[in-house]
Parts: sequence; C-alpha cells; structure tokens
Amino acid sequence: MRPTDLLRTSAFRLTLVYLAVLGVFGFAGFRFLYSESLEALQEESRQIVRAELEGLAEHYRAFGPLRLGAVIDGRSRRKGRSLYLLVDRRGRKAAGNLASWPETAQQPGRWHDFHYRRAHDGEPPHRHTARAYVANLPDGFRLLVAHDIGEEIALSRRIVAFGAAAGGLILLAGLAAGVLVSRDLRRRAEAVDETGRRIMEDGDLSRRVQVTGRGDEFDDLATSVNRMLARIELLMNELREVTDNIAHDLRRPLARLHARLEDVLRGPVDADIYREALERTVAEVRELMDTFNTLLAIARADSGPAPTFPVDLAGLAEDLVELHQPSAAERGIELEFARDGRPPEIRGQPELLAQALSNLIDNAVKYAPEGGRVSVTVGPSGVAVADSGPGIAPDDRERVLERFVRLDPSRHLPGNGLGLALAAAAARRHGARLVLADAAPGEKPPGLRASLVFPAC
Amino acid sequence: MLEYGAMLNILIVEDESETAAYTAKGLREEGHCVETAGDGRTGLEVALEGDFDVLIVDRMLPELDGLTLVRELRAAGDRTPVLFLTALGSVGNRVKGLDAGGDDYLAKPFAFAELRARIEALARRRAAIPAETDITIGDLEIHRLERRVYRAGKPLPVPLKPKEFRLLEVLAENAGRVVTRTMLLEQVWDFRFDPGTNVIDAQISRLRAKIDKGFERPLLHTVRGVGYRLAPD
Repeated sequence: MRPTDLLRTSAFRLTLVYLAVLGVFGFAGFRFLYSESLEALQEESRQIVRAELEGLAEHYRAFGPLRLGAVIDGRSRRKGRSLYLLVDRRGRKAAGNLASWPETAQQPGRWHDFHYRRAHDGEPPHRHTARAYVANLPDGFRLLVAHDIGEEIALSRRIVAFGAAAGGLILLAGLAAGVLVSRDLRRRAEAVDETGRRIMEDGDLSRRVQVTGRGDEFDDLATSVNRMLARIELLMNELREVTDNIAHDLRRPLARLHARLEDVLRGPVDADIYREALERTVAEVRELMDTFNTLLAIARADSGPAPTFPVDLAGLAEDLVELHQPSAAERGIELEFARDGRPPEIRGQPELLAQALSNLIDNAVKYAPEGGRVSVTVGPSGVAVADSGPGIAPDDRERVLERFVRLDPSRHLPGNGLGLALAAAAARRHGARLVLADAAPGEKPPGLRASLVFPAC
Repeated sequence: MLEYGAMLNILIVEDESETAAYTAKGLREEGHCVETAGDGRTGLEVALEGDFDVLIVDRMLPELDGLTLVRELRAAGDRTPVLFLTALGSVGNRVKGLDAGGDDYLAKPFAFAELRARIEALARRRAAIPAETDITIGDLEIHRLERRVYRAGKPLPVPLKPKEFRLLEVLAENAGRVVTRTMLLEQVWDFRFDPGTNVIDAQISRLRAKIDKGFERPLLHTVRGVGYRLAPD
C-alpha cells in the first residue's frame, strides 16, 4: 500500500484525527504539570533567599557593616548554592563569595536572574545561573543574596526532554497502530470490493465474499453481500429458465399457428373457412397473451418493492368462494367456505393474493371429480383449499410449483401450467409458503390440500 | 340519455401509429368520430381545444407522458373521461393512472371489443345522468334503495344475493350496451385478474335463471366472445 493509499483509508484518517486530539490535550496537560512543579520548586528557593536577606539586613541594622561582613564571609565559606555580596556606597566589595556585582541586578525588591563564573572542586571555572534578590541598606551599603538555580534548570530540561520523548513515542506507536489497523481493515474491505469487481468482469454470480469467522462487522457485511448474491443468482437462474421455457412453450403454438394459417392460405378462397381460421387464431393468440401476462405477474411478484395494503384474508376467501361457486356447481361440485379461528393479520398485495387463492380454488374445482367437494378454510395460519381429487404424489409436490409444469400428461384440462407457480410466487412475496399435502391422508384418492401458510407474527 | 350506438367524439393519443390506426379504424367503423395525436403535447392541445366525449391516452408518450397529460388536463378544469392504455398492467401502475385523474385502465394488447365496451361505458358516465334510484328495462324493475327486483310487476321468485344484485346493477347501468367479463369482474368483485374457466359465465347463468327463467322474452343476452348485454330486445 502506497502512503497516498494509506491516507485515503478512513481508518488511517481516523487515527490521525485521534492522534491530533491526543497530542493537543497531552501537550496542554504536560505544560500545566511542568509549570506547576517548576513554580513550586522556585517558590521554595525564593523563600529561602528572601528570608536570608531579611535576616542579614536586620543584622546590619543591629550590628553595622563590619559584623555583617563577618557573618557573610562565614556563610560564604559554607558549601552550598547560596551566593552573597555586600558592597559599600562606592560599590567596593565588603564581603561575600561573588566577585562583582551583576550588572542586571540593580533594582531592590525584585528578582534578577544573572550569570556568574565559579570554580567547582578544582575544575576550571564556568558559567552558572543564579537568581538574586537585592536590598539597599542604610549608609549606601547594598546587599545581594542569590541562589544558584543550575539544578532547577537541569531538572526542567530533563522534564522537557522526558515529555518530548514520551510524546514522540506515543505518536509513533499511534501511527504504527494506525497503519496496521488501516491495512487490515482495508484488506477486508478489499475482499468485498474484489468479489464485486470480478463479478462485474466475468458475470460469474456464484462467487462469494470470504467470511473469516471472526463474527465482526465485516463478517456481517460479507454475509449479507453473499446472501444478496445468492438471491440475485437464484433470480438470474430462474430468469434463464423462464426464458428457455417461454421459448420452448411458445415456439410450438406459434409454429402450429403459422402452419395452419399457411395451410388456409394455400387452400380455396372461402370466406367461411377464412373466418373460422381467424377465429381460432384470435383465440389462440389470446391464450398466448394470457400466458405472457401470467408470466409477467409471476415475475413482478418476485421482484422489487411494491406498496402494501392491509389484506382481509377471510373476506377475500369468502368473495372468491362466492365467485367460483356457480362454475363449481355446474360441475356438480360443492364449494364451501369455513372459518377455523382468527385469520392472520397480513399486509401485502390483496390483488396478488386474490389471484393466488383464485388459482388454488380453480385447480381444486378442476381436479375434483364430479359430485366432489372443495372446501376453503381460513384459520390462524392462513388459508387452505382442500379437494377430493386425485391429489399430488409427494415426489411431485416441489416440481409442480415450477412454471409450465403440468402433471396431467394428456393435458386434457385447460390450463397453462402457471397457476401453482403464480400462487407460490405470491406466497414468497408475502413471506408465506405454499404447502401441498394430502387432504385425506390414507384414503383413496387422497385429495389435495393446498395451503398458503403465513408466518406467525 | 346517451343511446346505445350514439356517435361519440373520441381522441386517441398514442405514439404507436399501428395501434392508433387500428383502433381509430375500428371505432370509425362503429360510427364514432375519431381524431388522433401522436405525442403528449399535441394530444393535450387537441384535447383542450376540442369537445370530446372520451380520450384514449397511452401511458408512455413522447414529449409529455400520459400521466402528466391527464394531470394538466384536469388542472385546466377538463373532466372528459380518460381511458389509459398501457403495456404495464401492474397494480401499482393502475393505481397511479387512476390517481392522476384517469377513469379506466386497459392493458395492451387488448381485444377491440373490450376497448369499445369500456369507451361506451365511460361516455355514458360523461352524459352525467344522475344515478337513478330505479332502473327499468322492459318489464324488469330494479329498486336500488330497497335493493329489490321485480319482473312483470312481481318480486323475483328466488331473491338475489348481494353480489348478484350488484352484477345486475352494473348490467342495468349499462343497459343496451355490452359489458365485458373483465368489466364485470372489476366492478362487481373488484378483481383485475382472470379467475379462470367460465367463472363469470356461470355467474351470469345463475343470474339469468333468477331473472329470465319462466319468462317469454329474455333480457340478459350473451354477446359471443365479448360479454353480456341487458336489454329488452
């Protein structure tokens, strides 16, 4: 990964922001601690210096310059950080361990920092820094007491150096962590990206994003992308299958139509023959269009969002039973509606569900024997249509939900093999299942119970 | 009252010239006066200038789509009935079309008889007959408020169920004109799909048994391949 790439990752940008915030607050905190502790240290030495100066000035007023000079000389000989200088009105040194009056320290009653040279344990003399307090004594004498602040300066330097080192280390560690984390996140995002790109390149929808098993948000993302891919793949396969089926299913009737029309054209010019051929043609074209429309309805049920409405399942079922009753009665079939508990509350597409249920009823009426019974029952799980027909063998129940599948080999009953497929698609659309079972298990014939089962909510 | 077979002024706004020509020819043969427009903008102008009984408007049009055309038409205060034609027959699109101010909806490809029946039903609505409370067809009397039906001055021997009454009402509202199976399904049951094998035919047979059986002159006629007609002849 190039540095510019690194800068483009959101993880690394976040690291930078985080480090900047940490740096600002860390620096402010360090500044505060540093100045507070330094101040405390200085205050202590200032108090010592001031107390000493006041003591010595008192001594001067009580005993005069000579005695003071002796005291100062005595103290000057002590090893330590204290400096003294007493000068007379002409500025000549009267006592003390400083060679000359520092030029910067003139005003009394204030603190002055100054440099001086001093020999230490036989080493050549070198520059020291001290902080002085000055007092004007009677008779033009002046007194300076100072404290060497070399140690304080050294200490403060050490603190600053330590702070800088610590800050630098934190920044470096933060940057390093940022780089590592960004690389890892980037790599995992790239796994999704890469899969998408390769699918775009070769259209192979069977590719999946690798799931690491860590169970983190990237795994969640990968899982949901994979689920989406699986769904797209399924839809694409179905589409392919439908296209094949349509080609197959429409080619035959179209060829038949074409042959017949040509045959009629070759024959004698006769209005009656023409008329009959045209009427048959119109009827067949109508059937083909119905097939198309149903295919479209199935495709629409399986695709895209659509507005939803509350569905009164019981009312719908009752209306449909009433609608189908006369045509069932013509075949001597008793079509009944029954309630068996409260129907589930459903939101969805009433029209689509009505069409699905209508198909189930139509099938049941079509396959029930003359004088048979069909019952439509609405209950808590949904709606079931049971007939006393031949039923569907368990092995065929899945297959029969596919488009254009008709079990009746002679195809002597009207239908395009799409009714159950549409009902199944409508069920899928509503999160429900179309369940096929024996209506009267163990009996002959077993009959068929087709149920739209809605999930409990 | 608009008589069956009365001449209508019809505007077809359709960009597919073949569909437009075929539809216009058919309607002219029925004795109607037909104008056509090939895009939405022209269609709107012609519709606003002319005095039409019915507009047939395709949903997908160049310049100005069908929905916008009808919205602008309604905004201009024009209440001429509109029949939308569309290749997209889904529920959502239908609702959108009717929301925009359309009065009916027909999916392409359509049977000409279906179009004709719907146009005549729409034109009747335009004639703005106040909803009659009583309708009389021959010796059949329908009292809508009491929901009672008399034939030859006597109540029907077997009373009608609510849906059968509604079926009769829709046929009676369009008395003399053909009402198609899909129109009946839409207006009586509010379903817009094909419920399958002769469901409506059986419903009509049952209604016929209740209103026509035992009477010399039948009122409920089947128009082969198209629909049904309630008329005294």
